Amino acid sequence: MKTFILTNKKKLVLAGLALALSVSSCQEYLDVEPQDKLNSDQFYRDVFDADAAIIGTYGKFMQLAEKYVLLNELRADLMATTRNSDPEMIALSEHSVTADNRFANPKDFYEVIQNCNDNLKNFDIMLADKKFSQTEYNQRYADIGALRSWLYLQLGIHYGSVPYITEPIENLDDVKETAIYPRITFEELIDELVAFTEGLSYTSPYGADSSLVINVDGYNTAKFFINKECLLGDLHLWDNNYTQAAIHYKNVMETGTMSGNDSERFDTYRVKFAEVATNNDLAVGYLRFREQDRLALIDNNTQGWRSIFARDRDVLWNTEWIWSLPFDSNFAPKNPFINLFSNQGGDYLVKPSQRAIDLWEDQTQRNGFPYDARGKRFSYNVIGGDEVIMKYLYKFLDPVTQTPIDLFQTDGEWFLYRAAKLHLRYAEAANRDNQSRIADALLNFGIQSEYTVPGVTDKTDIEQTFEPFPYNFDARAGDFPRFRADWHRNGGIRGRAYVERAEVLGDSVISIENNLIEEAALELAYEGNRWGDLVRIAIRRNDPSFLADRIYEKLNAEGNAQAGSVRTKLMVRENWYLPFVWNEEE
Amino acid sequence: MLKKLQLTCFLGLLFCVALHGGLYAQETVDSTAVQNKEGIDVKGYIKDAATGEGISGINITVENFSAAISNEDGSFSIKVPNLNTLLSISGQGYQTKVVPVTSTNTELEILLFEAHYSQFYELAQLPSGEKLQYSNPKAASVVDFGATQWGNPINESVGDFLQGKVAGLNSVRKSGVPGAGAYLNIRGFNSLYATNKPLLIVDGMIYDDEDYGSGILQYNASSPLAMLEVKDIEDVTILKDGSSLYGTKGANGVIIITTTRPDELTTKIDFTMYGGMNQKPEQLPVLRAGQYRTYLTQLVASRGDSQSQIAAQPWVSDSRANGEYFTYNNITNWQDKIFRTTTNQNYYLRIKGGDDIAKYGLSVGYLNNEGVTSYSSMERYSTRLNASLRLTEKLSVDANLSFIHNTENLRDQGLAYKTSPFYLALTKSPFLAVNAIDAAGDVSPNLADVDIFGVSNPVALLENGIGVNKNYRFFGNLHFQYVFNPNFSLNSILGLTLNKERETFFIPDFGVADIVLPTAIGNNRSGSEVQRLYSIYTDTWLNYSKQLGNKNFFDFRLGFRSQSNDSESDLGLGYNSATDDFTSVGSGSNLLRFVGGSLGEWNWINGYLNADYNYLNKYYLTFNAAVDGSSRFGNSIKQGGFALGDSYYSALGSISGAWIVSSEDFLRNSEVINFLKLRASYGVSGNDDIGNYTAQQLYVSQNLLGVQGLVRDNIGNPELKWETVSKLNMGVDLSLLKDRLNVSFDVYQNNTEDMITYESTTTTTGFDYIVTNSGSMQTQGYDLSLNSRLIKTSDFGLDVGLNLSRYVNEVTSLPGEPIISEFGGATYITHEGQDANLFYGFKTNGVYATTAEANAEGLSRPLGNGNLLPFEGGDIRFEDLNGDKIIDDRDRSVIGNPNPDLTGSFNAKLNYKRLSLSALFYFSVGNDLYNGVRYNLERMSGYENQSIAVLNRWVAEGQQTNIPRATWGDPLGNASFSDRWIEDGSYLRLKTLMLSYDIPTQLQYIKAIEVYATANNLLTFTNYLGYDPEFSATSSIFGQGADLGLMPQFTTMQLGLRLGL
Repeated sequence: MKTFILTNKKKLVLAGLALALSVSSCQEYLDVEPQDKLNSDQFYRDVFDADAAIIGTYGKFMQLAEKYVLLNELRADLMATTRNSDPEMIALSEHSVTADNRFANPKDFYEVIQNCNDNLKNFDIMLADKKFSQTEYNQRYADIGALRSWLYLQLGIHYGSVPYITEPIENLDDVKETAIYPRITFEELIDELVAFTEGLSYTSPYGADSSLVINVDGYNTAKFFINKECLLGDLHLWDNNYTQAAIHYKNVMETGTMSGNDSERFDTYRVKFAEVATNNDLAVGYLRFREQDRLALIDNNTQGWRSIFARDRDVLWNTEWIWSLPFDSNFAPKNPFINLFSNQGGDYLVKPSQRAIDLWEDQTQRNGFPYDARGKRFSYNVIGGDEVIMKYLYKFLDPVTQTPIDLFQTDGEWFLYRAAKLHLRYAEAANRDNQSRIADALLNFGIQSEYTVPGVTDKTDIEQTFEPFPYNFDARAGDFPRFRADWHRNGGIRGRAYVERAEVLGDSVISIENNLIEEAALELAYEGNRWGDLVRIAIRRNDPSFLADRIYEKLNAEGNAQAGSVRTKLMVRENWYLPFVWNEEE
Repeated sequence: MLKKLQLTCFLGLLFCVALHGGLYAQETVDSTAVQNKEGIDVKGYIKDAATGEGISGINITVENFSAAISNEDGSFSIKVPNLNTLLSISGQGYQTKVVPVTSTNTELEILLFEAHYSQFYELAQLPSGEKLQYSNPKAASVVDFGATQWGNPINESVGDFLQGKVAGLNSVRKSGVPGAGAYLNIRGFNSLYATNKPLLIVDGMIYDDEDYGSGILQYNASSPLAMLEVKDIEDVTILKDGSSLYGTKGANGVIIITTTRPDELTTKIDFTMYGGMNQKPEQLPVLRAGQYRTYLTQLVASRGDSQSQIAAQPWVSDSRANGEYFTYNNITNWQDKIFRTTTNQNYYLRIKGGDDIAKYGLSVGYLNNEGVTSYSSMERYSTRLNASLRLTEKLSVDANLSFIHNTENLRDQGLAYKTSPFYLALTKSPFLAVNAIDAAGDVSPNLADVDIFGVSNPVALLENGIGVNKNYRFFGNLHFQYVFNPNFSLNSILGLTLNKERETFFIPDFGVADIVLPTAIGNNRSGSEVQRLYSIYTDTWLNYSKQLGNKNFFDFRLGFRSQSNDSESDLGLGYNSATDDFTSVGSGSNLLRFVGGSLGEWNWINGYLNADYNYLNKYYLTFNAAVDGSSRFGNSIKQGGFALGDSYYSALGSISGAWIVSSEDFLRNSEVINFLKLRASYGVSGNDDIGNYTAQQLYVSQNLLGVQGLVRDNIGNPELKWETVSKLNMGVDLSLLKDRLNVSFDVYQNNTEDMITYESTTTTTGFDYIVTNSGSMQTQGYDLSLNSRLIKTSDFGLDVGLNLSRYVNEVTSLPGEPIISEFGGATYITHEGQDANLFYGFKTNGVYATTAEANAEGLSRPLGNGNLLPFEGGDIRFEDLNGDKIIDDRDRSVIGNPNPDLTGSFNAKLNYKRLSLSALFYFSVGNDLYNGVRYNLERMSGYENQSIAVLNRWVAEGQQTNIPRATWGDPLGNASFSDRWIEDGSYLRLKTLMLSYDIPTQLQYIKAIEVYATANNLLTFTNYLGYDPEFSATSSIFGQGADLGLMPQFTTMQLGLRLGL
């Protein structure tokens, strides 16, 4: 044998080499990369890949729009089911969702969350491998991180305790691991979210020079992305850290402060008063000098309050909208809201509840009309005998005939955050942070109106709060000496909506908070906030009836025999939550 | 198991090293092969089995030892080395036979039959080389094409041709579309999601039979196997077990096809021409115009139309003055407008010839088959050159090159409700006419447009529509062989497959109902798709045979295969071109154009070792091992196989043995048993059809408006591997009564482990499933094949044969919930502990005669909004299985099994002098079918015309009937998927009847003239109510047995002439 080895040494070496060569060439031969998809080796290689990852995640995120609106509105008191609603929607409305109901399935949310997890993990790797800069990393990581926190906040609001998974699923072991992930309570979740989101090192929107802020198909992408400060404010508000919440909200409210352009500076996110002469505003208004004429209401897609939901992404739009994603009929996904709301070209699956209608009808306009035009004139209309929620349909229905302009023209928006909501949330925080006066001012007719002194022309020492940040407001508008302070155009939510001020009754903090929540109903109905508002206040006050009563009133007004039992059920906090389905085929 | 496999592989490697050493020792050992005349004398007679007379000039040989030729009276004498020797007897016109020497005391009596008489003396083409079935320990069948291919019906491709010829090979013709091909599987199925197709090997090279496009002509599939010219094929070996040499491609058995062998030294020319007739199928009985009008009136009344509304309908009014009278008062048999009796023709020329150095077989063919409609046709040009070149004493090259071009005219079929002429011909209103008619009753030459009911005019689709599939395939290889010495050779096959398929369609606006696109109404539409497959195949092996003494014989083959594949599909769909004259995708609206496609690439390598061992020519043992690597495998497979570098390899193998009992002393002189062989094999092979990239973590495009981003597509599974199928087979081959009765019987059990499943995951993963190897199933069954020669005299002969096969399937484990799948309106369930793929729906029990009866039972149906609608008189009485008084999905149960209990065939061949008549009956027993065509013809919920069965529909309280009432929209779901639509699909078919006459010829230059008269599908006995009980609309098992209304199979009759020059 030994001689064999010696004599054949060269051959053996050669054979060994051949073997090694063939193994490595086999390996190369067997390593085939997909052609019409990318695998993990082909992705996350530079900043443009990172951008593609973010675009993809937001693309997926848009598929949540319908669910977001239904969960937050149909479960609450402003939206009701129609003759066309399916049993699962009826169950959602009546709080009898069972595990086989599609709304009990959190998969859609986790689908986006898992994409976020994948993005975040790979951004870390990219940074470590120096595939993009620290700044590029910070901006993108913060965006996706904040989006994930937003998604978890929604999950927490609707499902109570959920598993907080922050690592992507990459193989079978990960799959098995997620199946046994512990569920944490809503309070624990909020703490986790606050900790994580506060840890993000970048909280501004993408800079105007970012490769993600571009014009696409007629839309500027700047407002496509989540506003991290708003989210932080919300998270702190849920956590009852009022000062912190106010700080973050105020940061957004002051977005225009540093601008060199006056209208940008005075108008951006400050809930501007009405332009009574031109009506080129976002306020409820009438043609000048015809304020007593119902028909003079500014009711079109380019002027007044209605235009908030109907106008293009122009300068004025940008003063109100903080976060909104468009649906365009040329691109998937199809706008889900046409089908949901419209009784023409759609299935008309939900409608305004009688309770919501009553809320608007209970208001009085400043011209004495006994209703709030934001209700039956703008938020909903009666079309063909049906009460139709209109906010989402302005781009679909003809403004005059109220019939579809073109059944295939299904453009629309997913409304996520706007200045009115920001002001109401800020006011909610301020009110609890011993700044009820500011809260009441922002709710009603604005800072200037609240802090002015009638008859005084020198505004130097009035029309401002004289409080430290985040409660500093300067709304001075005087001519001798001339002042045009940052907040001088703030007209208050109800001021802009042309309704009488909301009275404060009894305990002012509680009363103002009630007013704020009710105002959110009037102003932000169907934009996906109501259920969260009810839950947040009910938890804060440790008073389930705050929520249960409202649901009861909705069902009762519909003549639903279950109203009483639903109320009883909702008096227990555990019953506010949807069943959390782990396995779809249960 | 794994360790054993690894060990065997290791041993295999060791053997290679030993082989290396053995090469030097070669010459001394082989000297034993030198002719050695010092042996035992054996004497015998050779007789013709038919006449019983001795035959002269027959070669008798003992391999590497001695040879003899029989004398005038058939007697011979030969020396053999020992009493375990096999004599090989061969002679012109007779089947070569091997005979064990029994003893020196008695003289051998050897009966010879004509060529290809007995399965046991056929040469099987195995992955390890040629082997005589006599000594083959595996379950294999050889089909010789020579006998029947010359009279083969033009309409039949290879897959159909094989139907009924081999026990255990299940062949279901996909549809009557010419060139549709057949759904093939061997011994049932082994997989749920991976392929169940057997591996096809043509001339040593893998023949890819997949369809790589999306198929823009709906419910038409391309079948490359159907492109092979039947007359080019010499024989086919069907290997049912022990297919491990093909590693992870062998799990479903192997079909090995050998085309023309260039083996003639004299020039031989075969020319054939055929012409025939395709007979239009028998029509389904649908309502006549008057009956339909009555039905429709009742139906629209059920949706709430008032009497005056109904009276105002143009099809009700009988006033000739209203201008529309003539449009709505016709009697049209729409099926007549679609189906035609057409012709088919086929010409084929083959030349074989050559010399010692180069031999060749060249064939060209033309085929034109018109189908049974006015548009359908298939035209094929085929050419093949098979050549065998002896370059030097030791080096030879075989070339097998073929090129086939097909042009098919097709239309949408199946569930294409707006565009399938078959569906429309059944359901279009019979009181409408093909052509437009004006108020005066004058018939225009123009076709009628879409009717008042929104239904297309099927004739418009035939006449103005376009549907063309042009495909071609080059399939060729070079086989190099270098013979070092008679015992040792090196072979290499280098092959190329190039397949291209171009499909275009146009559906006109005029006469065809519009469709709704996401952003517009689509009127006319066009499409174009190109599919391409490019595949390179190599197979290189060493053959080495060795004989130790006179008792031990070894054969080894060590080889390496590789296959790299590249597929591409590109398609474009266009809509709304300016007029119906613009039929290309480019003319469509720019806004509505859709483009798509897919790309695939996968590589496979396979190292294999085969070792055959034969002791005393009585005991045979074969060992196979294969090691596979594939780009499809994951890179961190946990078990079964081994890693080398970063890649993962499978290790599979099989062992099989045979014992020729009839060569043992105690049976040697038996008068009754001429041959008895017992076989057993156990093998493990794999299925690599697990998706090209499924193991990888993938990202796909996701748009945000018009910007494209990327999102996760799947949960990659790095542990993903092949499915493992272990096969156990026990068989017996028996020949009795002087070889006049030949029987093979096999029982088998196939166990699939690591079966691919779509395992559902938790909702928190964000994905619905992960593809894992976590299922298992089992198929067991038996095959019986029996052939007997009942009568044989010099003038008259009668042979009969029977094939039977049965398989029973059971899913033994499946993670998670049962799989519920839908196909073509049928619902299937796959459940642990049951057969895979069972029909799953409601059970019904007649029709409520009265509303009171329905109320008494108190059942109701939930509507879309959750309201309950109670059943009334005239509704179907569904069985409320869960007892909640509500009929919904929870009341479904298993209502049928599409798998047959038994399939088989019966054949008979009668010869009288030069006349021969053969018949092949094929049958299938106990399979259930979902009659989707009848569902459309009896659901009574819309404007569709219905079958005459609905004349018995429930119309009045108290009426006893089994057909429910007609209700607009069918809110109570009377027509939902239930046992109403499940029918027994058993049938017996006279598949082929062939009469041939060999005309005696005295001419010198004409060697033979034969005429053939062949009928195909002449008779079918079945209770099935559809057009035909044999169809297969998909290659997936989830979908077998669902009748979607594809072009039915039809009867063909043809006359043919063969000239041998």
